[in-house]
Amino acid sequence: MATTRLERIGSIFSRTEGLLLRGAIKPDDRPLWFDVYKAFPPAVEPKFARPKLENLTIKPILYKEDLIRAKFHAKGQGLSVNMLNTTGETQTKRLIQTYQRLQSEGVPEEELIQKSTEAVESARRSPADTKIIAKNPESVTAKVLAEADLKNIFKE
Amino acid sequence: MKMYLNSSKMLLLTRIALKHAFPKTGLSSYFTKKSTFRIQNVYMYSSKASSSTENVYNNFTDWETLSRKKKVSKAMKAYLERAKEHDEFMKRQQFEFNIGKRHLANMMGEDPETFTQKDVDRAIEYLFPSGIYDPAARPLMKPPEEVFPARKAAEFDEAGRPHHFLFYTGKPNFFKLLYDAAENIQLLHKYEDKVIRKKETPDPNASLDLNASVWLTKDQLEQMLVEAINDLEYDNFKLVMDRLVSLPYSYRCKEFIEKYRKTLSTQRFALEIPKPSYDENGCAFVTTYECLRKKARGDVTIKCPGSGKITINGQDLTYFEDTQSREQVIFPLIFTGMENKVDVVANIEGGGPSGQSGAIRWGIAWGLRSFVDKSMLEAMQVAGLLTRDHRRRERKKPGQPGARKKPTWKKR
Amino acid sequence: MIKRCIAQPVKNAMLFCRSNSVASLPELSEVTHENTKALSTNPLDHPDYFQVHNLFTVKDLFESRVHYGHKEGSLNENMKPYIFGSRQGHLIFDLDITANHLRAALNFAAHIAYRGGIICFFNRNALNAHLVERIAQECGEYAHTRFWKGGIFTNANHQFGAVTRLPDLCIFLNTQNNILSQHTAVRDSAKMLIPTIGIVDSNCSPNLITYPVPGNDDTPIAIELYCKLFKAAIARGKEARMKFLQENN
Repeated sequence: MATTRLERIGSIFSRTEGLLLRGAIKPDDRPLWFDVYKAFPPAVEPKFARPKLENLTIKPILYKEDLIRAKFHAKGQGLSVNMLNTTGETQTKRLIQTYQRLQSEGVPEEELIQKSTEAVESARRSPADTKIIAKNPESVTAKVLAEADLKNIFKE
Repeated sequence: MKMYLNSSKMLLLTRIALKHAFPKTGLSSYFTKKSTFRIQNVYMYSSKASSSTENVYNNFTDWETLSRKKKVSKAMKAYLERAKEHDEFMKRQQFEFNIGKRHLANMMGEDPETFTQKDVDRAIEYLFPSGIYDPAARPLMKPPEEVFPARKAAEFDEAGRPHHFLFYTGKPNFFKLLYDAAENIQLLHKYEDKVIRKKETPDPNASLDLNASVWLTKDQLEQMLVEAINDLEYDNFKLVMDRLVSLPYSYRCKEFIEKYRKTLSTQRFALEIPKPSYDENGCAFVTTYECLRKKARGDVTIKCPGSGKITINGQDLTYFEDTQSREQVIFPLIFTGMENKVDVVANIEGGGPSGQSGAIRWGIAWGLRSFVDKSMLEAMQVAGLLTRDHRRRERKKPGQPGARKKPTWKKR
Repeated sequence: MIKRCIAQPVKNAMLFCRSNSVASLPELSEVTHENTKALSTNPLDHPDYFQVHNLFTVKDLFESRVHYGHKEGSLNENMKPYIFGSRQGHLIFDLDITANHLRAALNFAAHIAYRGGIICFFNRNALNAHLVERIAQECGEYAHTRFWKGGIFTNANHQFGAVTRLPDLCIFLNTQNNILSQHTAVRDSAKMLIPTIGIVDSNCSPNLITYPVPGNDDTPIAIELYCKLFKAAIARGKEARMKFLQENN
């Protein structure tokens, strides 16, 4: 095509449009995508040269319960994650929920960490909790998990 | 700033609009003058200008209408042109070949109608005798389809869409091979998982035996894929195939693997060993014709129940005067331990004693194959008894006394 | 790896605050009713002729871990508008923005497929290369996941030994050649007036990509999702094309 190969000038649309308007390519020979682009232009024109975005700052993502999470993590609690568990229930989440529940029940501040840790630990030991229920029961993962004996997974 | 931008853009559009209205008048020079009037003009024309750009777009035929006309892509057009050119060229060559063949037949005094390609080759060899070593460099006259390589068929359809999904990689066949190998590896992994889940063990008898074959060499692979590949790509090929083979269930894609392996021909001679014939006394014998070494040629007959008698051109082993030649002759018999079990009759001519003895040695070894067992056969192969020695005398070079020997050279 | 380690804690936190986001779901019901009428008109007049908006939800993106960017230090300046924030040094994409961009890209791909365009998939990540090639084959389109020999686009007639039709759309499932340099095909497509769709991670430049989709371009599950979506969009485009061709023959 008779186009310039300087890709940093304008966008592909503006270059093609220039060729079309000035008759360098016939309207019937226009690229296949041209009409589609014209009907659905992208949100930002794909130019190489763009103004700097210095005033945009990246904000940190923080949550209220991060304070509680930090307390647990400082004690070494809830740091590990079971990757097989696809339900989104991590130990930290359970710890935080228990902490909040106990807090609303009026347990004193200094005992909260220890008590919620104990509560989660005892719940974890109960056999009903060891079975992981996968979200999609038909998936291969679910089938494997159903058969697997996770407690004795390393014992052969 | 924004204002300025806007106005300059409008100016541009106005220009386009005016150009459309009065294409041949020199309006552009009119716009080069700077004046407030111009700006006003721009605003006056601005609405018209934008609508003009719109007009250009409105005049476009929409895609649906365009696609109703059957359009052949540029790629296909170019290909068809080339194909036509090639066809015409081949037609011309065929015509010339036929004429040439008739001339040749007349020259040789034969009937042009029944003159076959074999006759052509013979005539060419007779009329243009050539001593050039490389057969490819000798004169030839073959039908054009053999001389000119076949052209690649079009790799795309009429719309210009390539047939192969990896066409844009430039080496679609090679990368398809890698893709298939990866696909097979994934399938085997899945299968292995399934077996483990069922708590079964792999079948030891079903494993793949790859001792008798090797991967295709780079040249062979290139020939198979009809694509040139570089060393790195060939290494990648071997790597991925080795990975595939190393999997425990690789026998499941045996067909795919064996397509890229070539069998080693170690057992080749086992198939070709002649059965001994029997003479009127019921004595088994094998005759090996064309025992060649250097300039000597002859034939060797081995008779199996024998006493170790060796007859060379009617004489015994003393036909050769030097011990080296005598050793050469009896070496295969001693090696196989048959020196007192067979009789040897050899007729030999041409060459000197070492050539003749070498030819007989090879003839005896070649004939003994019919009388020894398989393990001895392999031992003979390893010892080099069954290998023909193709070395010939090297010619003398001008400017020096021998083939390699140089005149004495003294620096000062 | 780092991305995966942070996966679970962040995921939980994010679920609470973001699962109520429906901004990217346009008015489904209206469009579907309209659809039957719109079939006879020009597909370009319809805002979403191929119904690509119902191919996925923001939740699907989230579950496929599309929102994980790289670490803050490797951020490309031009990716700033697409970033939701930074969770302990790891950038998180704003999935509402991503969903809009992805829908625009899917719509474009479907239209190109409808017009019989050649679509070529690119990916230089060895982990996902096979998947991409397989999807391309299933779509009846093309793939290039290997070493890019310079000049495949810019010197095509010489490279292929004949006049060659170049792709009409390039879909980059990652736009980087390695962590340091951009894929040359991005530049070459822009040179040759070929529109591009690209999954741009937080360390990639979206500038030359016609329809950039900010999102995770490393994780196989995310690539799987993109592949599935593009395959579905292309299939819809091709289906409409077959219909169109049958009506006109």
